[in-house]
Amino acid sequence: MSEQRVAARYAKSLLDLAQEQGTLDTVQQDMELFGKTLEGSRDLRLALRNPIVQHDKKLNILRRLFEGKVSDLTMKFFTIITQKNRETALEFIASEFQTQFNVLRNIQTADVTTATPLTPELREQVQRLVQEQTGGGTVELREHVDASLIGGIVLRLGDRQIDDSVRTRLNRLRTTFKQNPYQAQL
Amino acid sequence: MAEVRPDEVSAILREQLSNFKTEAELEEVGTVLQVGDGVARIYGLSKAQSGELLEFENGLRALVLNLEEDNVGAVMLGDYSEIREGATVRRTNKIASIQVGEGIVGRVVNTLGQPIDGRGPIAGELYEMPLERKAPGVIYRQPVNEPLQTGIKAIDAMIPIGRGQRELIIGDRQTGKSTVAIDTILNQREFFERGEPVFCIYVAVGQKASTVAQVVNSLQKGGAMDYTVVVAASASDPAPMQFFAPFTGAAIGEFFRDTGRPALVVYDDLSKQAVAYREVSLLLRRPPGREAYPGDVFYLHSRLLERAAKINASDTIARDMNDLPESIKHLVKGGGSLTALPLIETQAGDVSAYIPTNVISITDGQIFLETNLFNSGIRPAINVGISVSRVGGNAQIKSMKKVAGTLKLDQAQFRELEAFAKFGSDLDASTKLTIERGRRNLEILKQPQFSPQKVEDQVAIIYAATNGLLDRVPVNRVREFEREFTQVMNTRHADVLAGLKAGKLDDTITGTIRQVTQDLSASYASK
Repeated sequence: MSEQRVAARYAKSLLDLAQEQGTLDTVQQDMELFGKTLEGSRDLRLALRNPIVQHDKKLNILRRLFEGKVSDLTMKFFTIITQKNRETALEFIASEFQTQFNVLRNIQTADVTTATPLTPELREQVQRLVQEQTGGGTVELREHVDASLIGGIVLRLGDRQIDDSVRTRLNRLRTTFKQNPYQAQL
Repeated sequence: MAEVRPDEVSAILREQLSNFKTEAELEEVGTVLQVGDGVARIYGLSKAQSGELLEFENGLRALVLNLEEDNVGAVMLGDYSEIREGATVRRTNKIASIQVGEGIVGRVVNTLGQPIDGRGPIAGELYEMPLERKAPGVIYRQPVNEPLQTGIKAIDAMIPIGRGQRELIIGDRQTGKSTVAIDTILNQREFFERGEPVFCIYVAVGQKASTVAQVVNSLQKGGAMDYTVVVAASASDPAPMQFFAPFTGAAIGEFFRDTGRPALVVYDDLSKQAVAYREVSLLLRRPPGREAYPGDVFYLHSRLLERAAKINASDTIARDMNDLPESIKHLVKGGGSLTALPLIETQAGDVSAYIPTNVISITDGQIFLETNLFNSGIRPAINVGISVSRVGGNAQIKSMKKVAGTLKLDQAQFRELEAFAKFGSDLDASTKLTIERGRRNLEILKQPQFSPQKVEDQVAIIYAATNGLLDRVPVNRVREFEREFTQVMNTRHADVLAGLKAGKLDDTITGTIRQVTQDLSASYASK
């Protein structure tokens, strides 16, 4: 939890610096790449978190992985993070940077989960729905397919959610039937 | 064997399904970061309020207790084994509350007000009562002026309890604390039959489910379930359910209090509630204080017990009461009361432990029960010397007040001299008399379990004892004499008892009592 607070501070300074230097979009792409790489490799996540692995080793790993693929500023940022022994916070920084970037650019990200992939018309409908709910701005849809929903849609915007999936309805039905005031529990 | 018709089944199924909400709404959700020991840390839910109910996908409820910078700490009110990290939690936008109505009387409910006695949903119109509510302010109250008859001679005579009072019952395990409370509930049957019921709420915290079942059973046998609600949070329920159970009892009591009727709530017992609260607080990482209880354990008990009150008799004043729930605003009447009988269990008679001292200082008096008295056959094992009632005196009926004054004095003198009597040395006549009378009074104050006595019967026998009318009856036959005396009074001199009940104690009444005792005691003395 304290990691998140640390991450927010670092992400904000990176964002501010990138904005000042006018390289915001490149840095954003860098962080996205970094986030994706982390997501893809459990080993990398564990290595960064591991307190036994030396800080310069961690920096070397990051260098070998990202040298040439990311901008100078991002590389410098990695260096400073390892100097300050905050590698554990890196994965949170990546996601926190994304969130702050979205706020800055007024981009709304929405998670859409459906049982089958969205058709283009549906996607448009969902996009309109999100815009209605948030009052403008660009909408970035992240689509997930989860067959266990059975049907319907789950739309999540930050900490608000519209859940109209068959699974949830069935769950609710089950809990309603489970409550049996005619059965003594004493 | 009862039959269930198939068409009935399908009708009920259809009804249940048609009530089922199908419309999806925008709801606020959070994600579980961490779960364990009945506590969940939830990310998101940025607008959640303290004390709000949350709901997990499987229908499990949780209660928000900690609001932190980037997460919310909630306690789970049920089996949390299915909850995993990453699970979604949704706000219900409801501060923890229960549904109360006239139909709740006679039922056994859990902390959330759901019936658990298997007798179907609670009937009639229901009103939402919040579990946490501010106590009524000073201007909406009035001093205690009506007695709450416990039916126990020792209490009604020497430690009188008034309606709206908070009287602590304290003692070691197995000294009869619950018995005193249950007898008090049983004694309210008289008022129920007269059509002026005192609604009783028995809150069982952290007891064995079998013990709760036994209590319900004895209340049923005594006909007390007609005006009683039992709130049960047994030892196997999660700690949050246990520490909230007294608040449920208070909320039910407030429903009766604010609609202008007298209510009595028994919290059995607050030591276990404090332990449950300690567990939750430590799991939420609140700093521990003395005996590892959190700093606000005093506030936990004081805000609960402050809700016991005698409400001003005026309807107009009562209607302006602070923090009235919206749902019962149209029903509010003045003159109601909520009497609280909290129980505290001490360890080896140690009343200077943290929780006992706290609750002693909050309440308007205490009834001490002692193991050695219990073992020497004095039951109820009340130590009259150190038990007090700070406000109940104003509420005693006049006749009782008169006879009880002498009784208190006699017993105090008797306790002083009792030690001498043990040496068996020669004593002067007046000392002997004091000791003999004290022994008889002690016999009078003994009372078996589940046999509360009407106040007029109590006054009559106490009058006889304190005026030396029993001096000729051998000590070991006093209780036998008492039974016969009460019977004769009830069958032949009902008018005298009615007079005593109305508070009169004039010469005709005392004359009759003298006459009856003389006639009866003659036969006892000769044997």
